[in-house]
Amino acid sequence: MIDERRVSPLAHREPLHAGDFAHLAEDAFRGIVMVRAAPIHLAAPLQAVTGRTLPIRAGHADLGRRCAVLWLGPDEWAIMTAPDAAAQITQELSAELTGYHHQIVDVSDYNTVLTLRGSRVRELLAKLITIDLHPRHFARGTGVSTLCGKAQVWLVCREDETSAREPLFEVVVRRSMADYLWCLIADAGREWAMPVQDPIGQVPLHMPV
Amino acid sequence: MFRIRCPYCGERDQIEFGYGGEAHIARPADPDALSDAQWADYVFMRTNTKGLFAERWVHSAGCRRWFNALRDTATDRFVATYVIGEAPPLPVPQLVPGDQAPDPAEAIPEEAAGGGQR
Amino acid sequence: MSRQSARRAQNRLDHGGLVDRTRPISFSFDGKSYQGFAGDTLASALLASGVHHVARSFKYHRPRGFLGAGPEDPGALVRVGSDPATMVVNQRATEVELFDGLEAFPQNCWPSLRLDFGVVNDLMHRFLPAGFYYKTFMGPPGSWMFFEPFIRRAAGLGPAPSAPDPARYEHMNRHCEVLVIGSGPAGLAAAREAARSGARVILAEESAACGGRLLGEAEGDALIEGMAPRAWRGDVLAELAANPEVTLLTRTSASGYYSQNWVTLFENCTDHLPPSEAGHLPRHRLWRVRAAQVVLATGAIERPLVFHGNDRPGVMLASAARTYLHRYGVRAGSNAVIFANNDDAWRSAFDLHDAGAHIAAIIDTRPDPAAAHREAAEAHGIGVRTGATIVATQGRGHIRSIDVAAFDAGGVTGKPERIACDLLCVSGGWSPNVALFSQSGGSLRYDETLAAFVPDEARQEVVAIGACAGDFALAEAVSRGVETGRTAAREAGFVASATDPVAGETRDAALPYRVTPAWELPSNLPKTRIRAFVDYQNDVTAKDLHLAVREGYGAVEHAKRYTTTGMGTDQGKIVGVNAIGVLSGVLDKPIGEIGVTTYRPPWRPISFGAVAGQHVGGLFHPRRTTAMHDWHVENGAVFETVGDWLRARVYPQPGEDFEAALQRECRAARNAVGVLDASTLGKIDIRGKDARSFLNRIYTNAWMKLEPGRCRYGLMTNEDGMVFDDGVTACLADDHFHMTTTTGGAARVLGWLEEYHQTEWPDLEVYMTSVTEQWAVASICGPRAPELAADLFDDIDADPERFPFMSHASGHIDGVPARVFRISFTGEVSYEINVPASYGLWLWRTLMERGKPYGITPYGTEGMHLLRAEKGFIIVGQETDGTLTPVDLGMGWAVKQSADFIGKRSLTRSDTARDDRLQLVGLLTADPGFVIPEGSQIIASGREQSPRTPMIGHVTSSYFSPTLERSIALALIAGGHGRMGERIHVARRGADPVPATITGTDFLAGLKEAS
Ligand SMILES: [Zn+2]
Repeated sequence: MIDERRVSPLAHREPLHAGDFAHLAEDAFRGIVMVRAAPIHLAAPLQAVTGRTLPIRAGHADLGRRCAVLWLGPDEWAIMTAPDAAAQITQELSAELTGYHHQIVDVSDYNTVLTLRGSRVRELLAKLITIDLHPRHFARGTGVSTLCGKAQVWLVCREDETSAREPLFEVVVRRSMADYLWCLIADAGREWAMPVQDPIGQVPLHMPV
Repeated sequence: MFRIRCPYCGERDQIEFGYGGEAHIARPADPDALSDAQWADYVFMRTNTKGLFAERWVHSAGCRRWFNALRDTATDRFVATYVIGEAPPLPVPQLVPGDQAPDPAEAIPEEAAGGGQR
Repeated sequence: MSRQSARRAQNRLDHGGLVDRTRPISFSFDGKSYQGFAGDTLASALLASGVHHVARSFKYHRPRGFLGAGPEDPGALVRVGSDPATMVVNQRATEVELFDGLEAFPQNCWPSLRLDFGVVNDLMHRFLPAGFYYKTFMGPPGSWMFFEPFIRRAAGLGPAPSAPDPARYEHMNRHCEVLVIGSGPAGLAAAREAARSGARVILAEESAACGGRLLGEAEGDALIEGMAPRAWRGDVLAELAANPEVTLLTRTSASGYYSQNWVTLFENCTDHLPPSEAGHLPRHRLWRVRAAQVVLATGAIERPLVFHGNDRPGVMLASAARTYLHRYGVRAGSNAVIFANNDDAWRSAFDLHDAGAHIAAIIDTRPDPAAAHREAAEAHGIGVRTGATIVATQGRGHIRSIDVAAFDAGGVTGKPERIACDLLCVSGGWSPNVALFSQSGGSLRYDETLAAFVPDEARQEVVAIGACAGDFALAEAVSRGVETGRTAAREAGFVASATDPVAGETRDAALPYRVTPAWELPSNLPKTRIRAFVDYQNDVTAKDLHLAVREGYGAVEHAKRYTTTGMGTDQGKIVGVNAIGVLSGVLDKPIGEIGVTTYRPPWRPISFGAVAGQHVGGLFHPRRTTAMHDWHVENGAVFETVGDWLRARVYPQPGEDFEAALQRECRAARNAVGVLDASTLGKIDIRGKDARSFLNRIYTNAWMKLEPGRCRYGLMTNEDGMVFDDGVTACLADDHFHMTTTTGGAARVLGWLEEYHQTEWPDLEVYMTSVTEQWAVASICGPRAPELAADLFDDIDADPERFPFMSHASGHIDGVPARVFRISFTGEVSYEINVPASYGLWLWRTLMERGKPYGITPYGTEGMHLLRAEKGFIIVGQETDGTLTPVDLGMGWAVKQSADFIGKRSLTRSDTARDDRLQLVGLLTADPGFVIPEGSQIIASGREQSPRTPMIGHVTSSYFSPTLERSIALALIAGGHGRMGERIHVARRGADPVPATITGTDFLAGLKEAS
């Protein structure tokens, strides 16, 4: 149960559809935990707490149904999990890492997750992202930190439980830029008739005369 | 736009990186022991090489790691990138004392050159 | 537009070409209606209707027709559309595709295309020589001022649209193994072979249809791999279209070739469509392609010959005449003369003849054209003149006749003979289109046999093939294409599964290419009267190049700029080599020694829209919003941007102006309780056993003794000792800190910490992670803030005695976890309340509701600026500008002596330690009602002297203080700390300086003393 007092960064937006080509939605309130530690110290505790294997190379991610681990740097990972699970993971992992140099920070409220499904999602994202999104180079199980337009994001490609053909793309973005990115992605979907979205940041900067 | 090979993430576009100027300039261990001129040399003076140049980059939009690169400043060709703490994989002029003729007006006595950290 | 009946297309053939005769298209040019067919360009359709004169040249306003048939055409520039927002100017009629309802207009002429007053420039051409513009700069004082308005008006290239562009544009990033540019036979072969390996292939074709010269030539008995060329083309295109790894882009030009095989492709998505059919496509798309291998199959460009009168409408490149014939089914004239220095151009004579035109003459500057051609000409009954040149042409809006004469090295030898014609096909030979190869950094070599520059050494992973490489023969082009396509795929890590042997014979219909250059042809006219154009768009004649050399601009780059050769929108596509040829004659130097001018992107004009892509308007740059944004909007906030953040600046109520709202908000914060959305402050979680020593090296003040539960203000300096950020950091545990930074400095500070940790002190055990947006922050302050806080907190004792200033506590508000910091930026009792950001809006609404009894009033950043100025707190970026030390700011108390920190050593450098540096002080004007404009200069005396009164400082912040009920200001003044109580003056523009007194910066302290 999500506390009704919480408001997600894209609560004011409705999912967008562009035929079968692209669907954009917010997957709000996901639990996200940043972990920094030496991989040699982290691997076993991570396995014990989450059941996931620590990815140790760039672009690699261990994407489970309820819990996913993304490589972000040589001593930096993100754990993405269910809305209510972040606090517990934070607590348990902290306990396991006692005595080792580490940092565990709950950043669930820092970020939100945009999901993209459909047959043209790679093309859509390629309008905003400069890394190679061809399936040979960006297959299911890939997760990277990169730029999407002018927003820094984590981009994850994973199995879509609702489609055997197409993967699911998750774009994790800081909450203050979520609306900008939402509108930018919608614009990239214009080609397939995704509806126009006006950014909420377009407010007057001067005293009305 | 360049492609730069982050030693951790592999090749990415230049827009993901930040530039950090000349590499292999260690912060003096005891700044108070330096003269004003020696300190100013550490803070302000940089070599301006035409050709192979060791410089720092940071993968700001990726893994947020700093690393060093050898770039040919005349052609913008990246010859190598390597992690902080490693020696450059090729000899670079800026690290070879006397290889480049310094401007006599700005030449600093050997013993004063940034605590010998260069 | 006048609706006259569409003109009959008298020059359209009944069959042939790619046009669809079942789909007629109506369009207008210059107000008259015409009809063309689907597949036509504006040029081909106008030519079909007998229209040649469509434009006026840039400088002399001379009539211009169609010299080329594609992007190389220099003169036929038109405006398309009349809507003030969507019209586009300087479009090449040779590239504009017809659609129903297309409206095109001539430009650069007034009052009309036929009667253009700008022609006076032409009559005055002797007074507008090369370098004219530069000479006006150098001339008598004021001459540029005098000429400039005339030049600007006369030299326009069409008006700019006057309304915002409603079109969408887009970037598309793409990686591929093999990028093939150009889809002639060589490009098609290369793309097909590369694609068969499974590699990703992008094939970019500039025009609407693939095929290159295959579409512009008669098929004759030519074969490609045993097939008729167009059938072969169809097969290859079908194979490419069926391959999902192939991206086939038509109407797409490679506009720039940059480092590491990064190539920009400019795609026209909808310009060729009537607006109703554009759908959701962007107008233009800029593809940003990173290719492992690039294959340049960009063909060659035919050049005209340089002779007197070579610029009349009806003068056309020989290859363009064939393109109009074979691609568009248009015979560009019925009585043609062919004038060339090579064998290739003779084809135009035979093809036009076959299409029913009369060929009045073939004139070849060489004594020895191919024997086979001569025989064919005789068989066709075409008169041939060899070793001859055209010495003049006649016809005002369209060529009527030419004068031909024999010539040798000494000049014209025979008596000119007049020949009537309505089309003059010229060819000075072919120049491989090396623009992109040159942009890629590759070097060029002059090939004497081809009389052209060809690619020499490549600097990137790029190969030129076909005519672009100087291989003009079809068989060579195709076999090089096949081989290069395979090699490129292999180099990129792909191997064709089966290497099919090439099926059948490839052979040309044409004779091998032979050329003898003739750069500048003689005339029997007096030298001063000869006007042989080199650059048709910028009106540069051979004479201008002679003048440039005489005036000392003989180097090719100098001559180019002095004469503006090749500097028009056509970027000298057909001009370049001719100009170099002429220079070589003037300087008597071989062409190879003269070299070429630099080729720069873009290869062709591209729209600014495509360059900007989708990053315009509301999507130009992120405007970051806080969790409380909706409330601010609903309550009429006026916003400002701070860094990328949108912050509520002030909340004017109905009837209030900015200043009134500001004063009200500040009074509420001083007298009751104010609330500020402080979510944007940077926040960094810092953890590790060395976190404390790390902070001690980063901040200028001491951190070793800060206890858990306590907070401390800190300053950061660069190694040069100058302040660049400040903020409060809280000790959560002995090895755990919560740092705050300025709003704009958050990313920089985190980067700064990581930089020093990673590059200087990797031995320190410390991790930093941004938590800026994890927390939404509402800061409440004012005398009644403790009461509100007490109401609010579930489990934190809000009493300022027990929850003292500069401490923090964790607890809950209605069960929501909160971190509360007792820190103040206003001088009032404050509580900075942090909750997880998704509760931010709830927290704010809760505060507004529960705060009502205490008179809660939201204040914006302007109020925050004012309140802190009253207290004398600095704002980094407002008081500081990167040249101030902590001591300059009067914050020497925040500089520790106990240990080193970043920038410490710089504080004792002789210049940094001067006591006459700019120092931060307060200012009180003698007139308490006068608010000094921020940024005002400060002078010592009350009277400004001539020539200049020395400036001793400037005002950084200035307000009318509601608390002191008078104006206050912060200022930087030389040696200000030692000048307390001194009277200075604030300079004003156009008014007397205003006197003010130097004070301390804490105006509230002054108030307390007074009370
Ligand atoms: Zn990286």
